[in-house]
Amino acid sequence: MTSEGSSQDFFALFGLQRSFVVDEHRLNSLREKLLSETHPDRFVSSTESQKKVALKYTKIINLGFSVLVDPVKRGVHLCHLSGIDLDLDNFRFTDQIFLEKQLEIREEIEEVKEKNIEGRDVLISSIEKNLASTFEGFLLSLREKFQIFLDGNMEVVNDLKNSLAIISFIQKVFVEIDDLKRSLN
Amino acid sequence: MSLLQISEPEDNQALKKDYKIVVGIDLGTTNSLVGTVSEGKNPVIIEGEDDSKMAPSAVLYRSDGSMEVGINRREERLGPSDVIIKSVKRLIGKTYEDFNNSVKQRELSKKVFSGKEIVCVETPHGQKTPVEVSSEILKHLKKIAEKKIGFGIDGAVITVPAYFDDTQRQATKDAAELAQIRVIRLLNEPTAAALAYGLETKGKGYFLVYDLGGGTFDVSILKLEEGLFSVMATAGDTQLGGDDFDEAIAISLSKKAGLDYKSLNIRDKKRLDERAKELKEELTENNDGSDEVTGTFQLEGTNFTFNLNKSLLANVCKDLVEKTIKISKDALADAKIEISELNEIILVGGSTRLASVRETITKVFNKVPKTDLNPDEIVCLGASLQADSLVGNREGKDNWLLLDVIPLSLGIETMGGLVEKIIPRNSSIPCSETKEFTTFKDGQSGMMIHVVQGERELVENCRSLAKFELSDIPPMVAGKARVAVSFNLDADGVLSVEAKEMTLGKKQKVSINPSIGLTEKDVQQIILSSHENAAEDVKRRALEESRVELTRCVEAFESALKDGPDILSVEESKTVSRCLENAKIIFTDKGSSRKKIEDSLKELNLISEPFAERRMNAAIQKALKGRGVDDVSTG
Repeated sequence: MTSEGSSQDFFALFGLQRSFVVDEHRLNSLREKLLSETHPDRFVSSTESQKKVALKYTKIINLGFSVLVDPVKRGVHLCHLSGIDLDLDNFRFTDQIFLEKQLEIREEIEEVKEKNIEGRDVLISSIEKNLASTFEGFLLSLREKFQIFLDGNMEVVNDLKNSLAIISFIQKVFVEIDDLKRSLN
Repeated sequence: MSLLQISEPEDNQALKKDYKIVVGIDLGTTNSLVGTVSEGKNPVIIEGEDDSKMAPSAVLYRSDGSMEVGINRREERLGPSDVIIKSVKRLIGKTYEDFNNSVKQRELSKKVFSGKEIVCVETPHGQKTPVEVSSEILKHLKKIAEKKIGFGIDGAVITVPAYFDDTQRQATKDAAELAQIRVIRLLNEPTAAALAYGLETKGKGYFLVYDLGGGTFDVSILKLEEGLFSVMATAGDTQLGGDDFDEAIAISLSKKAGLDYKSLNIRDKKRLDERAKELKEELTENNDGSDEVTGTFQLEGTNFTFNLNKSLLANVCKDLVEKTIKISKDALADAKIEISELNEIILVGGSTRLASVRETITKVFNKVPKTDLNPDEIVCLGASLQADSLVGNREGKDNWLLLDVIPLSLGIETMGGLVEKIIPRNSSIPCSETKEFTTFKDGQSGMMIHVVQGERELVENCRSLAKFELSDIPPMVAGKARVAVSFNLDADGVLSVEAKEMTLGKKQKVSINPSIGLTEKDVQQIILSSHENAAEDVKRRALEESRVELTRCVEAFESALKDGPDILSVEESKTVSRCLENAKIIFTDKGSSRKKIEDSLKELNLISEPFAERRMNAAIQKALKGRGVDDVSTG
């Protein structure tokens, strides 16, 4: 195990096979099992070097968990392990349908700000519901595409990238809505 | 480095060799407690001289220059120029600006400190920072503990609201250092409560801890298992507590009695709040079935009569209670737990005695909250237990592991005053995360790294933790330079940030020290100036501490080797033995200099590192193998 996250296979770290499908509940129990061995609080009476190693491993496990638990990071990591750097940060949408959908979502969020309290909550929860179902849809198709990808078919890479960028965008909108709710309170 | 009093060896003979005397401190808004773990391994609250377990978190500064800590004195019984500071916890780690336009600001003063206006209180002893006032409370608790135990304490676990931000945590640590208490760990209050509760009742499952104190509200969702306590999410409001309920009651009562609360001076307001609090407590503790209490309030010779009944009380508290429920639901959502999945609800903090709080919780969560353990003491008991665990006083089945999270997201400022989150809230600690950023102008040679904490999207709505500049970026077109910003959180949740320019590899590292507290140098200065022989003492202690550390290190290494001798090659074994023998000679020799001891320690650590790594890898593989073939194949 190295401290450089970029060369680490987090699936191997957790003893899992590479897959886009990860059971969060089980991932969490694996995390706890590993941390029970590595957490620095387990080594309060040990040597400094043992403490240092404990801290290093614990950070890697927590980082690995944060990657595997998040579908976007997990997808990027899977591609990375196959030697493909997706660079989602610099991705530009070309999918016309989704571009329109993006605009639509932005407009809806703007609308929320103008509503009174009751109308607001109704609108927010309807936006959230809509987004959640879109999100789920893309997750399902990503599962299939990753299956194909992991079987060695590289042609789906662009498709994967597009879908990951979309769910990444939806995640950001969820954060924005969360911020909106906080600012309204 | 700890600056503790080291008890003389002869005092320690009665104790087990490695046993450390440590305490847990609940530094509350209204009351503070100190506890420890008794020989029977049970946590106990240490009583003060007056046999009371709770010391009011109040510091009385008299105009004659004297000071008294931990007493409860009503405003009207003070001398005309005496000042009693209460609820200082609401001010710690805050800037003057934080109280802009609030009622509080008028009673506060400010002091410019490293470019920022920090909040202060005026006393007959001059301006005092919240850190200084808090340190007086901590000193008082330390004195209580040391007197009862009969030894100097080796350290303390101090609890803080889970929702305290980095600055508030740092400020609390400063207060402890000023009081010369070594902080073993800052522990979140609801976590401490769940720990005490879980160990006492052996309860398992998902727990919601609802902690409504005098000045802060916290809620945490935890998963309790045998030997493992894991925090799943935490939320709260550091400016919502019993004080706010009292104020709301006072406002409502004065309105009914024809008094204009807003126009009163600060002292009268405080008196009125106190009166409201007394009536609230009277009504809450009233067991004779009556649902009304009456009280009077004197103002400029006129007597006002107040009637407080249960429905009025519930009504006044309604909005505040609603707010806590909303925050609780947010925490559940973050933990991805449904209300129906909760096994138990634990109430913590004196304000949870309010009937309307209990009734609302029962209704919303469809469960009667647990109150088996005293809500005032449970946090301190948990802190005492965790202190005992963290200094290695517990082993095997007697011990446990606590996994905690950070309450608020950490990020940096990006273009347009926006926040890019680097470590999201409820991330398990310790952890580290790196993100890459780039330049936005051609030839840009510097980059300002502004570290912020909070959930909001705009920098101005978050807490600013630190600012530093990464300079000497080689000239490149916009978007070409790559700067990696790494955030590191240790087990205390204390942050350090590093920025690295990737082409030249130029690094800049900052520890996020309190930007509105005291610097380490200030604290050292204050401590040094408080003792005549302090400088000598510090040196002597440092020497003693490194000797103890070397001894401990040798022992730990030897015991680890005994557990897994096959992990070293013959060649390695020889080097290790030589190094260990050398270290033993050095720590036994009373004449060894500090440098000699520390060099030996360094050598030992260097040699043992690969071994430590191999050992850890083996433990991980074993843990993964232990979970059955079935699990692996379906991965």
